[in-house]
Amino acid sequence: MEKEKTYVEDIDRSMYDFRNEDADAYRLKEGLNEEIVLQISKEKNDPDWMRNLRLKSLALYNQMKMPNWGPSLEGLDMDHIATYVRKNTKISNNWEDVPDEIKDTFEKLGIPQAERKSLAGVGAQYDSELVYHNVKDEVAKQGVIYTDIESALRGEYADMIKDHFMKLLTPSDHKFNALHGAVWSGGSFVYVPKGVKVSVPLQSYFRLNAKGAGQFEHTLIIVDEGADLHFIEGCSAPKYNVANLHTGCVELFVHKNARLRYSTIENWSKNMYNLNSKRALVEEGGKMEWVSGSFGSHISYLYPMTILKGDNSKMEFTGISFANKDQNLDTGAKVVHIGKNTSSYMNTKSISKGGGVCTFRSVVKVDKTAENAKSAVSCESLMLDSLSRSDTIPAMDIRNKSADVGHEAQIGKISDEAVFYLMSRGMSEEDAKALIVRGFADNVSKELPLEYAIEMNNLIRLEMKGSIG
Amino acid sequence: MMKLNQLPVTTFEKVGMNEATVDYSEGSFESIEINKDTVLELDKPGDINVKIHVKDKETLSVIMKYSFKDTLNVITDVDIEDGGTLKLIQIDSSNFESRLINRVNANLQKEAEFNLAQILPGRGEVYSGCTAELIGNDSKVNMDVSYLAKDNQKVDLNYVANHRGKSTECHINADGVLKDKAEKTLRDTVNFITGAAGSKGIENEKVLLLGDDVVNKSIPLILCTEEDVEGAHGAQIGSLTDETLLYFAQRGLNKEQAEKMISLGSFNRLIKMIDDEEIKESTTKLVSEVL
Repeated sequence: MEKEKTYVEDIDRSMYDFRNEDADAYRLKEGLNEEIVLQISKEKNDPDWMRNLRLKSLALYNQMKMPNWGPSLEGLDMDHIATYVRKNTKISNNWEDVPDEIKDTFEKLGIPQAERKSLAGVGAQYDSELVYHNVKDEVAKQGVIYTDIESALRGEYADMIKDHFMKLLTPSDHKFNALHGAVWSGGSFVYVPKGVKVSVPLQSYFRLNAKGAGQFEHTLIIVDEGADLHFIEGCSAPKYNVANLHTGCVELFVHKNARLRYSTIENWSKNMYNLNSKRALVEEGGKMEWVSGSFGSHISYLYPMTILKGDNSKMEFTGISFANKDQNLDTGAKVVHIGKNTSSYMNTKSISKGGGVCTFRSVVKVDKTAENAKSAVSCESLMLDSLSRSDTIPAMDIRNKSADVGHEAQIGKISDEAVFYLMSRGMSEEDAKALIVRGFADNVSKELPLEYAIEMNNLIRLEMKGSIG
Repeated sequence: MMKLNQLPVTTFEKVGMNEATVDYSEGSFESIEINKDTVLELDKPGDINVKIHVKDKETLSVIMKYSFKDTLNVITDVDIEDGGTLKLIQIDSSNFESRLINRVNANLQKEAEFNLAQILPGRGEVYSGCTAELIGNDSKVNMDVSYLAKDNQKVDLNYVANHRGKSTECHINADGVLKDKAEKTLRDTVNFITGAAGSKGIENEKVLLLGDDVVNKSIPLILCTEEDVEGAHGAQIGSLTDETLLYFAQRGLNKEQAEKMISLGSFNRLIKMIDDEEIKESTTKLVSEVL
């Protein structure tokens, strides 16, 4: 007789799956060639150096191979992806000026409400362009710059952008960074001056509404010496029956003794190829904290990388993935220790169900210069059925004998002993199992901002029946 | 170029751990069949295919000792029938300018047990590993390796346990010491395949880094398409902690002596498994000299 299984409810995506018609949108034809890249450049009124970067990136894209590892990308055909879609509106710092249809979209997602309650500033991108960007006066008065990246590119921060844009993530890194370099559009620029501590988070939200389109926003954050920032990134899209593509780039510069926390809740629809790149450069005494929740997408390749360049710099990565039917989430993190006395800690959890695939993939590299580096990696995977798959692929490359590197991984089902322990203290079997599964994700959810933790708990709403295992 | 020690699932190409490549062309293989307790000494270069067959409920002990010059390429095919047990100890005592390519492929039927110990204090380039197919229910494999790499030596290791039967078990254990400019890569994989319910797999690695220019690469994989399993991996890579050195200092041993003692300890664990007293003694002597 087949064992009765716990029913783990699917993620309720109704709050993300609504869509708007894009009849009045300006949309470049599908595919990728020099004409399209030059058209995007013209739309954005790029300076010469940016136009040249786009063309150089396109040439690299055409030369480079697809990755020969990771989930299959066979369903992604760039000839059927529109790289630029813009609604007939301009960026505003007032929600009242945003067209009703788009404003409704972000209200359904709770963005204006969150801005009023708990954020220091918000950027909202719809398809290829920002439609709203605002920062609270008190934060602006501290000298914090939070603006759309195109404005920064042409305004008083133009040199700063030129000095940093695609310098940390370069078009030659891999094929999809080259693609980003060629067709990027939208995204945010943040500069936090020396010593300024931003007490409440900034948030950018990316919504891809258009069918068969790509979103290629670029986020550039510089946290100057002794400064402190929490930045939140959210993203979602309605589901279509054709492939959509997200290839954003996030470049983070954490200066001496600064701290940056970068939180992401990724909730793309199940037709999305999420091929995103994130990288942070941390100077002396700086600290980079990543909090990452991956719930959506058909395919994800996502491995935020941290370069601990400065002595005594630190990195922490906390991540959770939940893969369901038709999802292959290949996520993890990379860290390179260069400075002395650097430390890194990765802690990840994954849950696979209904044929979903979760892969934890990481790299810890300790360079020869990295005296007394410390690194610890911990990953735990929970399998909820045998239709699913869960892999851990952690690589370590250690080149300094003073390093102290530890790694531990665990995979399995809910422990019968733990259930027995809780039952012996008066809990029912179902309650015990529910508690264990919720507890599995708890140390990640507690790192999220409250409203995101609630959202995550809603996403992983577990309905217990019978037994797991 | 010959490719070997491939990961069952590849990762970032830039990490350079997906496989090893060796400038070697295999010739025709000399075949050696073993079906009883045997000590096999291989002291010439060449391509050798050793076939070990363990019958139903039979227990076999085989020692393979390598001392050669140039390149020795050994493929050992192991078949263990229901309830059979094999202890296979492979010892590399080759010298400088040698290259060992040592691969074991094992098929384990119901309740079969395979205990593999690879003792690798040799001075040449080493490519070694084992792929165990845990086909039968309740079959069990222990893959244990101890190595020392020094000077410019290169050691490349690959261990894979494919859990196919129910309630199968694997333990992969790698202990090693790296000195001078030595480079080592360890790939180890526990692969739980659908149907292997009730199985357990554990990987453990300890690496002692003693040289200023050593390179240690490790990639321990757990692959899983079966829900009802337990898999775990643990790795500890570094030098001796101050607390450990203090412990030895309080007992009158300086840092070098402490490092030697710890290194010797990881080899001794495997040397104890050798039944042949003469080989046990010669291996102890060899390890002590190399250390």
